[in-house]
Amino acid sequence: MSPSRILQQVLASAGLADLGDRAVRGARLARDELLRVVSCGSPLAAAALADAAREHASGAVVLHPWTLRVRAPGVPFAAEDATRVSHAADALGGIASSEAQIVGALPPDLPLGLALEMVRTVKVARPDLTLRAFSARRIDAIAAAEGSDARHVLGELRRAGLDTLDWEPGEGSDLRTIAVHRLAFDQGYETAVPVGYAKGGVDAAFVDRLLAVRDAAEHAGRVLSVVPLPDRSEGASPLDGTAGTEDLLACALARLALGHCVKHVTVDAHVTGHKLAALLFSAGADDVVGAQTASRWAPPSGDGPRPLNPDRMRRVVIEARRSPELRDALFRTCTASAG
Amino acid sequence: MSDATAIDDILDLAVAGGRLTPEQGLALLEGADLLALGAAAHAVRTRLHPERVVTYIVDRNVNYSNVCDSYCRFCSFYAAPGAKEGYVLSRAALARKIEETQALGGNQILMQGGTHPEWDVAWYAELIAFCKSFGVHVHALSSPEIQKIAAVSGISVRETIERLRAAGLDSIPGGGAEILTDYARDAISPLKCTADEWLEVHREAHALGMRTTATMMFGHRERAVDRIEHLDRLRALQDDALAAAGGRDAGFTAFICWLFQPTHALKADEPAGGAEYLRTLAVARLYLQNVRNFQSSWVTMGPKVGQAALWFGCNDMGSTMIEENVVSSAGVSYRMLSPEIHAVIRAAGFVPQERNFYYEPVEARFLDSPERLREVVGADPKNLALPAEAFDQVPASVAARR
Repeated sequence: MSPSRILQQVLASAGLADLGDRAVRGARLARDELLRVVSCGSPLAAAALADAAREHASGAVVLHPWTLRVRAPGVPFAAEDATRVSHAADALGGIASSEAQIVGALPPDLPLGLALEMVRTVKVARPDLTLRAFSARRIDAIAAAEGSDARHVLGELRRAGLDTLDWEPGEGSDLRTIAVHRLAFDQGYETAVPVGYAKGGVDAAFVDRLLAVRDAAEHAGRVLSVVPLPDRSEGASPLDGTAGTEDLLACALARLALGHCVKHVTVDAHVTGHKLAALLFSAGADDVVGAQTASRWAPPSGDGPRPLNPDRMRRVVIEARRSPELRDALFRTCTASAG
Repeated sequence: MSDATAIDDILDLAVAGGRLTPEQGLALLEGADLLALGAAAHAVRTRLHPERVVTYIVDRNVNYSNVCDSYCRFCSFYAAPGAKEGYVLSRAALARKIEETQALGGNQILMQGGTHPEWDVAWYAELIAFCKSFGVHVHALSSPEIQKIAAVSGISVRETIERLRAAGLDSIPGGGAEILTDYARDAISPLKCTADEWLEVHREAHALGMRTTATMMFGHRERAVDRIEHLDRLRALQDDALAAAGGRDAGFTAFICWLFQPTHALKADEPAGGAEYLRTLAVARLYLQNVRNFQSSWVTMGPKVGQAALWFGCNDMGSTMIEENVVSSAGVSYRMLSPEIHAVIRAAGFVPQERNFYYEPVEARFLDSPERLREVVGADPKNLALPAEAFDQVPASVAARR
């Protein structure tokens, strides 16, 4: 649907009127066109373009997983097999969710063997769930500790049952992240690719990182989503963190740069907070992570004093005039499973 | 005519300065695209304030007491009369808070408490006079408090305001409005003053030439139609104030709306996201075009949504909130200081300008650092970190520290 009359006036004032029809069709925008959006000076104009492209791609649907968080340091991975699996089934079984995620402070020199054991344990305990774990940065760290390379680590984890990669705050601000994800595509993964930015950093370099993801998506076709990722979480001092209007522009640019070849733009509500996330559903985003469930191995966290539960997430989506749909770690719509 | 065309026509009307009907307001609230609402609200803001300036004020929310017999279901701050956690700040504590505010560049205190069953106008006049003796602008006592003072004192609302004004009261905050319909008030604050009584206080204050602010707390038990009725009643009151002033700016200086923060009392209700806040804010800007200034509620929504609000009709970032106790009692603890509020306004694409209560520019006075202010003031919901000597009525948890 075309933007409303008032938004067409906003686009005209921002010098972006010629992009309106193309955004509605989900067209592939050129670098110089994206840079015009960066410098247009109107967050509303950028958001209006991205919202039109989002509607073309996803209609009113906003996807979200219901994440079973498995806190790695709390898991007795070193136990004997039978005990480990029994403990895992006890701790993780019977909990409704749609994906599993390994979280928690892992040692910087995490050995590959332990990483593989974590993956196998979770997959044995919850074979019904797709598993998201290990950021690109972590993959590099495991490879370094192993004296190996990222390709090898990704292959081993894939064979152990890992379904897709995770991301972490501060990641995606260089091209290495994208390079690791390209290696993951070669190993058969489909992933959500983070593209990071810092305060004042929604600029030409950010656009170029988006275009690097676009290049990967157009060649490999295995990018499930792009995740615009501010380097500081909500609650950081405004002197250090990104502005809400920067987050809005970054989200819009992600949709405009990639909308023709990557279906989804993901908001990480653990980082942005759910209040800003609700606004980003009108700036190109059609997917949000942040709804989580707790278990003995999966304490709640994130989003200020009150963690999001799935009902709350659904309400945030519905109040933003969107239709929530549950997905797994591979962005397939599904129903919650208790294992 | 399609729904989209009808919405476009209503937005065009509002942008041109037209007066929306309640039905049109409701149609926008329920059916308009969020970004279109933001664009229209920003156009109205730009017509009223063409300069790319966003103002703010350095002030402090001082809660002289938490004793209150209104028992609002949403409130986490109050203590019932006789409850062990009830407190009343001493004059010495008040003096220190005001002097700290002045030292930090503040020119105003916003002072509110509860509805106390025994304190009369003489008690409050003495309180106001004490605060005014420091030379600050005293923006104090919401409608429910003033109605209670009048009832306890056995005098009219007008006489109450006159006596408080004579003691030094400069302006009246819009607190306690929540939603100005009987349906909503019955659901969340049945013992507090009625909608008519809330409006009466502001009408009388306006008639005396005083300025006040208008507020709305939404996202609890009210319906969309209640939000529109609330705006309609504020607009009508502001019409009266402007008509009586004969062309001068008068009545409400500003409108501030914020989302209900869930508490123990209403925990079944969950908070809405930024989209719902911005939608209601933008509709309010389109509906209430006779109120010049709209404040961003970053205290409840966080600085990031607060920045977005500057593109959805707001021209003011409100207060730096040197101290805030009521919302933080509900678990929301966003705070900003002068350097931060400047950074936030600039990052959103605007020029920061410190102001006074009347939205007149004043010269900004920066702190050395945000850490310095936090060191001085701290974060102390319900004032419980103060020593026992800071209270005339000492809350039990403070007394127990002795």
